Amino acid sequence: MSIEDRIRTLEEIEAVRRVLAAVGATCDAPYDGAAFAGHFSEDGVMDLMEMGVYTGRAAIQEFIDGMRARVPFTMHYWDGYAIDIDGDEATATWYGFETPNLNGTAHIGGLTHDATLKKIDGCWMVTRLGQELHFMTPYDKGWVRQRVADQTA
Amino acid sequence: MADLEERVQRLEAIEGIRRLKIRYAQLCDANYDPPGLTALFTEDAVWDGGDLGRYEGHDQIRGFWEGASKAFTFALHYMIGHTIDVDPPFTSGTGHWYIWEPATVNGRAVFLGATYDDVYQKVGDNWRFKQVNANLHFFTPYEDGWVKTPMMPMD
Repeated sequence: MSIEDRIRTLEEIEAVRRVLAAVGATCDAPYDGAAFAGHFSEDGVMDLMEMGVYTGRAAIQEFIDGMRARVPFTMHYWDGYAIDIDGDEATATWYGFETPNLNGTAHIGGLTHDATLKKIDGCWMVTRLGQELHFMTPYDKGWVRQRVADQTA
Repeated sequence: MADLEERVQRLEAIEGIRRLKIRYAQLCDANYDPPGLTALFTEDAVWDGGDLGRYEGHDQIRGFWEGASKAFTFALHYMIGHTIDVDPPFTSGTGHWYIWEPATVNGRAVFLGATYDDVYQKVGDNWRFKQVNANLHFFTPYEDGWVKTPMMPMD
């Protein structure tokens, strides 16, 4: 691989990391659905497993904006990225720790995420975002007493 | 300033070491996959966890992970706040990491807080752990917290 290609790979890893950090920030309260969906390709997919699969920017924005009404506060601590670049496509995995207010009660959430991205018109766009929810527990209980709280109420 | 090749090699080494540590975390979260984790260490590596024990070489290190896989039925290893240092010829390096770990140990929810001081070595094209020093700061039952019970017994 040429030195130019090696530098490009390193630069693209950093660029993807920046995009994913921005995605995380837009789903912190107060949830900016338009900004969040704007990081996805037109036909992008968000697969939240037990919380549904949303295809296309409009559906993704609607879901995120819906969260704003239900979750008055949360923070997304995202880190531990592993990013692979293959030309204009990328894959990534990372860890998430969340601190939402669900139904007036403090919760903590532990998740892992995965994504595929494609460089479109010079910008990295998310083509698929997935997650695995390991726990989302009321702060006063912990994941052994209640692994997953109801997030849809 | 170092020449371009050397600057690129430094950044590639840092990224390679970062990936090694994340792979370590992912395998720990996969029920401490003993063969997978052991393969991330050099043959003569040391994993030193202080009160958690000191394990030298592949056989001892694999045995440690086999024990962990029985006691820890769930864990998420959040590896954060790292610094990685490498110098020419970029065949070895050192790193410092923080870890925040929610886990279930013998049926009980716990929080573990620690830092790592690592030594890395390149073996062929792959980075491997030469030494892992895990410095445990708290290991507390979820219900207690680190002020009331900073260190619970492992068993």
